[in-house]
Amino acid sequence: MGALSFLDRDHTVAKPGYSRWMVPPAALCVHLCIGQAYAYSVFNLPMTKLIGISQSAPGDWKLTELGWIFSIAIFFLGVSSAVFGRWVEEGGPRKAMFTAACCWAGGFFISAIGVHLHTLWLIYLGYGVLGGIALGIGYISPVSTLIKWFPDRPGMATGMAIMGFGGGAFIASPLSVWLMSKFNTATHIGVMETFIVLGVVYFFFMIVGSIIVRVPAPGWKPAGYVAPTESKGLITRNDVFVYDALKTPQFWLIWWVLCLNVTAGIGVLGQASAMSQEMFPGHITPVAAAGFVGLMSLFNMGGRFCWATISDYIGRRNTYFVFMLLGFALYCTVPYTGLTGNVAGFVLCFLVIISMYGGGFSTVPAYLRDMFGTRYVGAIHGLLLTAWSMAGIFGPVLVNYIREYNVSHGVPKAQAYNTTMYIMAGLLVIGFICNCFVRPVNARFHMKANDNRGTEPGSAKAVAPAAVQA
Amino acid sequence: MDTKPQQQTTTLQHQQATALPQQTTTLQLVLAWGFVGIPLVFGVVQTLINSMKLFQ
Repeated sequence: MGALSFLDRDHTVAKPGYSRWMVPPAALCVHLCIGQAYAYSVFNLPMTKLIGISQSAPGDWKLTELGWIFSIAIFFLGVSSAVFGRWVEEGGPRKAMFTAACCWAGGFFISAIGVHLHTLWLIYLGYGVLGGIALGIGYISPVSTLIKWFPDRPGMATGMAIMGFGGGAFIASPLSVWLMSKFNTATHIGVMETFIVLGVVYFFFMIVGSIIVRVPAPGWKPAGYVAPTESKGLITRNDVFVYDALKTPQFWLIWWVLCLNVTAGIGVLGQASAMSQEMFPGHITPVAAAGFVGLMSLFNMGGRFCWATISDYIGRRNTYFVFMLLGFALYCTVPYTGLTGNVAGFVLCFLVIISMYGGGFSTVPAYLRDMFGTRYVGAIHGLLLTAWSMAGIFGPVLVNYIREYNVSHGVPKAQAYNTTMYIMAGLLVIGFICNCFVRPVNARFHMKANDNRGTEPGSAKAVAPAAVQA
Repeated sequence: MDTKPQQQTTTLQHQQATALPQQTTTLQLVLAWGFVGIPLVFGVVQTLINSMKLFQ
């Protein structure tokens, strides 16, 4: 217990002279690693040939069975971020990052054993459950710390970290393919060895992040920054206890805003390749479609940083208004681009849409901070991520099933996505309405000065008294 | 009742924060950002190269 005391929040308080610009790289160490989840599909095909090697043999796993690994991981991301949110907030970022590193690497190691023994449930348990828990804890671990270090630019700060989650796949995808090519032999597919190497590399990276990270000392504020003395507009000076936030309409309104924004983006993100080829047959080849998907990933990552930074200047609610209004216009335009064969217009529409999908993720922590204060923002963010899990189910289902329905009812494939686009636009209208209703949280939910919750040693409250919070 | 542990915690943090100043050097910043930046830039460049197939 004593040996691990360096993980405690008390031991991560920054000394004078510590630069706050060390914290974003620490956060990126974690987010770039767990962002590997977006690239997990590179293992799917090799894992269907573990017995047959050159092609699938009887007894080899099927793609449908392997598809569950990612779904379980995303499910446990939502569950763990909601369940462990308060623990992450009160235990501090180092303890959370260390735990995430152990779970993430452990997930890879258990999966490697699963591959070696050809036992699928071990991979469900390893990458799915343990990896999913690492995703949840790791995703929220640096959020409140960054917000406390950057009270003047909370959107930009969280945008940098969450950008890393989008960028993790860029590193993981070529790295995994390269590793598998190195470990592949004529009689063996190198998935197991790749899992082990990835587990070791990610553990090292995440541990470095946990060592670098610091929380600001009580009373610290950036040079030249003057904290507002009273609540202004939607930006509160008070804190709301994590479970009290669930009782506010604001939490659920923002939950729906995020859910609808993500639903609108995640459905097309997964189907972008097929959709672009079917809407522009003969114009967009499979190779070009792969390039389109890559470009969308870049805009997804870039949008996370750019939109969150913009939100520092125009406000969080206004940023979501832009997402909803611009998204509505673009979704309504997509069928027209298909009708007129305007490939450039189609590509442009989806690049902007996907940048706003990423921006929705990265802007929401600062939105929550504005509404509920800094003290429990990480934990509240964890609860809000259940909206992501929900959207992860709704989005692809909407796109796939509506397309199937249209095709089976004689609609040409090039126009099979039009209804989906209009439904997505409709979802954004609902999101716009939800965003309109967001008002400052009622004062009865604010934590009082003598509030006992979260006052144990090392708690978030003890570290960041209201007087120093922006 | 709960003020004692809070005071102890705050005192500990105060002691840590005020004693032994530790200036972050430019080298530390470059190393930290390079540690995450180099792999990220590598990944972005790879993706950008693949994305160019859209325009070929």
